[in-house]
Amino acid sequence: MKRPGHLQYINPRATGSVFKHTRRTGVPLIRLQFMWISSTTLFIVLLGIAIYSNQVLVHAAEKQVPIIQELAVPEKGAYTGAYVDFGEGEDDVTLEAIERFEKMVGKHQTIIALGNFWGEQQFPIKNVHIITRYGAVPLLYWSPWDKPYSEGVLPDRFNLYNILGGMWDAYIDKWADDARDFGKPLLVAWGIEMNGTWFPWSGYYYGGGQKDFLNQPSDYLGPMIFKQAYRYVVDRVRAKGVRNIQWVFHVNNYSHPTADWNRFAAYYPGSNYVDWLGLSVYGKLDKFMGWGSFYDVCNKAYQEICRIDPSKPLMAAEWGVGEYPASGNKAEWLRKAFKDFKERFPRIKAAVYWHERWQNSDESYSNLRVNSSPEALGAFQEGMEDAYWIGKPRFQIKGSSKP
Amino acid sequence: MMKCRIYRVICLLTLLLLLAGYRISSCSALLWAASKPETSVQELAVPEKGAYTGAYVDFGEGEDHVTLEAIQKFDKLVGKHQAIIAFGNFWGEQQFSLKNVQIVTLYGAIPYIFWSPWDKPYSEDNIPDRFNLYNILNGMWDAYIDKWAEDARDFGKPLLVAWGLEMNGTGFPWSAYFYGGGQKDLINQPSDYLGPKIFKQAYRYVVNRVRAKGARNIQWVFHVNNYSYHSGDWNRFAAYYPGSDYVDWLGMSVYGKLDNDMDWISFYDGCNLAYQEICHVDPSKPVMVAEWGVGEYPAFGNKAEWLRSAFEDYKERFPRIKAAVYWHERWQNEDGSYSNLRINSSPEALGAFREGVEDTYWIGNPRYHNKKSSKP
Repeated sequence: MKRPGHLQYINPRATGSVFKHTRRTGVPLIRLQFMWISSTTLFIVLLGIAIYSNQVLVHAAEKQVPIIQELAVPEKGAYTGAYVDFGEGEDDVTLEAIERFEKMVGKHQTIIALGNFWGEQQFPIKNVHIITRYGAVPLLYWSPWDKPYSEGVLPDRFNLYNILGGMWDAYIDKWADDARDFGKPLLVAWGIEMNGTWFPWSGYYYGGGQKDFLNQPSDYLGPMIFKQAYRYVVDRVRAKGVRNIQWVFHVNNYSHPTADWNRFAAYYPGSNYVDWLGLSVYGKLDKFMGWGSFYDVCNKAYQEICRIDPSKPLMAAEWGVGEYPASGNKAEWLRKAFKDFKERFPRIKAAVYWHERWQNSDESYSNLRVNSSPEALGAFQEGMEDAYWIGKPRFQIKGSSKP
Repeated sequence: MMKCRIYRVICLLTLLLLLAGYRISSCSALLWAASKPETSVQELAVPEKGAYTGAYVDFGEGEDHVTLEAIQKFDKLVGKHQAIIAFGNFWGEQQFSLKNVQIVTLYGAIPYIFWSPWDKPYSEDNIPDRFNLYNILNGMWDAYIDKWAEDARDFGKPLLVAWGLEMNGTGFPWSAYFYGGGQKDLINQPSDYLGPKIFKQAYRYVVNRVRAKGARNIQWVFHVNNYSYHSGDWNRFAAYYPGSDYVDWLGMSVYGKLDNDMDWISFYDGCNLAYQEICHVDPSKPVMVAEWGVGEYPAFGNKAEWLRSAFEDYKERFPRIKAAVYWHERWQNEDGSYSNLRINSSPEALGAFREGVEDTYWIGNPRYHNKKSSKP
């Protein structure tokens, strides 16, 4: 596949070596017998070469900023996407798994989501290649999380204080270099669901709702520290010239604990740092949760996140529901969800289904897969069929408003 | 040649016998050594009557520029030997301050170490640094703690150590404020507060590691600030208390007016509530005013009078206070003003201080007894 961005790129170092080369080959042409003519001629020739090379350099400098593509926000409809059970680290991405999912649901996917946790200490070049080859845009959950990736544990070596103290600068820089060199469009969510307690980067672990006495007593400390870290990371990545990333501000639909300090807005790092607003919206996931319709779990969060930034597109960055026949009808839940996306949540321009089945600590299973039952699968396929769901990414030149 | 060989054999046998003998004797020496420290470690005794007098003597920015001259000058100034000399030993130094404890011991006092997990440039009001409690709990500083513990153990003489002092404020990066503060611990025990819980875990983690290295010559001081900032229920002393097994002394900082923004209050007013509260935390432990002092602000109050009343209050109203460490320092504030806590900030203050410590209630030399082997 061609990388349009890279074709436009002229390496200034390469032009520099052309310059040197011209001068060097020029020297043997000056024969001894003509030397008397021509210190002036030589001067003029060299001057000409210098001016010419200089123009090449200027030209190169102008072109140095490569043309970058990004995912366009569709005016009508929404992109369909999925996370396809990529294992414990959420990163065992295979083309087979993606293609199998596509075949199963009967629609190509625009977005394929995967985990890229800091414990791996590298940019997932293999995975983004697989996804791009498949023809989707990768959505990276770039979580500052150490192995063994268990929820509900205290912050680890990637804790926000260490990030802000510069302990991971080298890693961030290398990651950014690799992301930039990859060159194709990426969606990246840094520090997802920070309004909960289950991930170690939650505001909860960094002062939570304490007033920020040191700086601005009207701010809450936990969300403030999160915002600082988010900006710190994005700034560093950008400083490496990475322009092919669109940043997703990805919250959980409900805040835990439910408190004023823990609302989405408290965490919002600002319009300059966000390209998409993202929401995790799940129905019943385990035995302890009640059965709620997609509309019920989504609506309040949708209203709240829409208010944060009226200018940004919205993405259901994770959605799904378990199969609990005794509590509710999954097929029905999915059918309604597809209808609600279309009719009630017009600002949602992409939805990434969480296609996974896992075992809980009480041995029970949570089966979110679209094929947890034939009925569920049927409902999902039917939903996907609608032309409202866009199966292929549409790109636009970064910075332009139209695809 | 033959002789030679036999000679060699004999030599070898002798060598083996010697080696075996050496191994046996070194083995028993090791056994003896292993059993001995159990009984030979000394610790500061809690006086039945009176209280130890001590001081921090303006040891500079890192609170660790300890000199015998400075201590002796202070001793001369106040007219009394000091039982405790306090100083900082921050984690940014990455080593046990052997030189300083030797100086203090040479002087004849027990060192009181503020062993703060704090990185340079030691400025207050920063967010947590590389010594943040999460890193400590994750084992990032195990090697440092272990080495520190070995050096402390090898030093061998009694030490007082306060780890993570004044954690109930916001000024130091180990304050619970930065670790969830008053959020309920929703993951484990919703009746607990998250911030104090993480602090307690870190405190126990550090003490356990130090003890695992056999450093039995340390008495641990649980050192809070007299008032909690902010003053929520979650931020009370008890929430931070790591347990009787982890604490030998209860400590608190009690200051009068320190800067332009503070009001003038008497020592009694600054101390009483905190004293009652910390006494409740653990009825079995001696209490130490681990830092005390007041600035010279003639327009607001009389420092000499403040000191005189304080000495009287120690003796008459706060009987569980068995030691008091005066903060003898003068520093410049951001607004250009000076905070002068030194006892000689005025001749009157000095007079009052001298008069106060003259009383035999104030014990100027540490008294030691053997550490009970039943104690951890």
